[in-house]
Amino acid sequence: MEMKHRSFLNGLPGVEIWVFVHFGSFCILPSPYGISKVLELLQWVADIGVKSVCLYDPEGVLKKNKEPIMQRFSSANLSEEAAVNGRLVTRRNLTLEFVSFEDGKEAVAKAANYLFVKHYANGTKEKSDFTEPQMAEALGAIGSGGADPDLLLIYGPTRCHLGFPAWRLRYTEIVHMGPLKSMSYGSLVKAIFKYTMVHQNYETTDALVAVPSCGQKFETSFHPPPFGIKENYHVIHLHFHLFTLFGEFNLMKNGS
Amino acid sequence: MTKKIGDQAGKMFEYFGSFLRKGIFSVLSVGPVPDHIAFIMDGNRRYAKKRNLLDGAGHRCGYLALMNMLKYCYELGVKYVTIYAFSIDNFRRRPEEVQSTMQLILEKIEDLIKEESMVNQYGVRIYFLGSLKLLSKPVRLAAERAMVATSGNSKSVLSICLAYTSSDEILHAVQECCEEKWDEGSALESKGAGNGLVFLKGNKNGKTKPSIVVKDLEKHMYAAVTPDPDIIIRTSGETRLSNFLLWQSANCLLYAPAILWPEIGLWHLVWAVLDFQRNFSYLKEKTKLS
Repeated sequence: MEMKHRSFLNGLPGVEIWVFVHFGSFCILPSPYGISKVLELLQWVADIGVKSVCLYDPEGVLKKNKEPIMQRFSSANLSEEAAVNGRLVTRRNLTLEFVSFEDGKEAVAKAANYLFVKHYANGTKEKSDFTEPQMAEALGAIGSGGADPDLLLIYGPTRCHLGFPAWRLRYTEIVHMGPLKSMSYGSLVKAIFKYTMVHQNYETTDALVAVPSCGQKFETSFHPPPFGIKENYHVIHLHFHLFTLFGEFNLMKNGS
Repeated sequence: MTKKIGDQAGKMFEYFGSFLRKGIFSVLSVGPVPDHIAFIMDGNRRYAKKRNLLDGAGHRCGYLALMNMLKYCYELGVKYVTIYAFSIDNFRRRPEEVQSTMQLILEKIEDLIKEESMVNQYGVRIYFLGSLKLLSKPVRLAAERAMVATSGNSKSVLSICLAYTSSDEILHAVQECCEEKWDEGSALESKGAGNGLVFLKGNKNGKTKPSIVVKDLEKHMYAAVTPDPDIIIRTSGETRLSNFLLWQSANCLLYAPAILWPEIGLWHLVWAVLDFQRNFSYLKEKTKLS
């Protein structure tokens, strides 16, 4: 079963999914129990084939206690992309990032100061308005940059993002997974699978877009129906997704 | 005669419905009632497709659903309601669709400020939040008229996010803070105090003291006119916030029922409030910590 799920994402060429695992209630769990659950979850996520994981807890407990996590993923190296405050760690194909509440609003305030010094420091005021790329650059310069996550999994008692950096949450799918102590591999796989079926409506309409490149989502004209419903075009559409997601799954099943 | 009987029956049904709602809201009010609910009204176009309606009809049905939800919220005692009417991203839709939506928005703003409208019935003050300069002149002027016309109302608040995204709101706040600090520094410079130059060039140790803090940014947010939301409800089962109130939703319950926006009703609101009440102590504790 694990072998099949490891190839879960290999059928999607060029797709790199970032999963932000957000622990709303991490701080209330006894530390050793909490860390072992985090390690187990990261192992599942790595087995599925996710490339990058960000761990968020508002109080920054994980950030302060990241050594057990780094020890477990023992070939971890601090990459050149590591932020100023050492948040980013790369281990083979898994990039780990540790984020806390101070990387949210406080970081935007620091970025505002950075922009002020950069654009007003010469004693003359620049006329043009700030742009989103400038803001992203400022956040990167102060060590709080990074890509927007595709998927935010909330392990906690309620569906609430608890101050996750606002700038990075714009189009992120936010899924509530329940308490950390009752996490399951099946629900993790299901959440990632459901994410791949998402489409966004704000662009133009009804073209079925082919397999996405890195960082993009599937865009479709229909919501795929639940299994068992047979409408002609929906069935064809669903089979398309099944083929790309479980292509290797079927091959392995036939070959085994 | 038949019409008269029909009208009377309609009124009786309305009174009965209102009586029933009062009873439900009395029970709900035993627990904590959210002060501020925000809505992402998703699913109008899918509703129109589902019901084989003409283009634009889904949004009109959505408007009726909105009026009902506002009525329920204000009857329950929710003082602040915010709605995501039109995102800056929505300008990327087909021009005909944008034009039709803007026309509908203009028409409904004019309806809202009429004497007999629900807005005056419930004493609602209207704010339009967003980069209004992106709107066409008629819509922008109508929005400004609505804000002036309702400025005397004080019982409740309706914030309509138009040409809005959170990233634009944050950028705007950063820009305003920089301008404010520049003006303060220039004023001090002109008085000969020199503090502005000290800020710009650094203090004696060569370090620049941070001048802009989180409170300054929050003062300049479009949504500074209301407290942070307690619940954000997004219909259609979509799980993302689509650049809506990201700064303000840190300790907010995110509720995503699967129904399309025109299908939303009283029971969905009741369910959202019950969910809020169930998680109230946890969210309150998190708000205190932050």
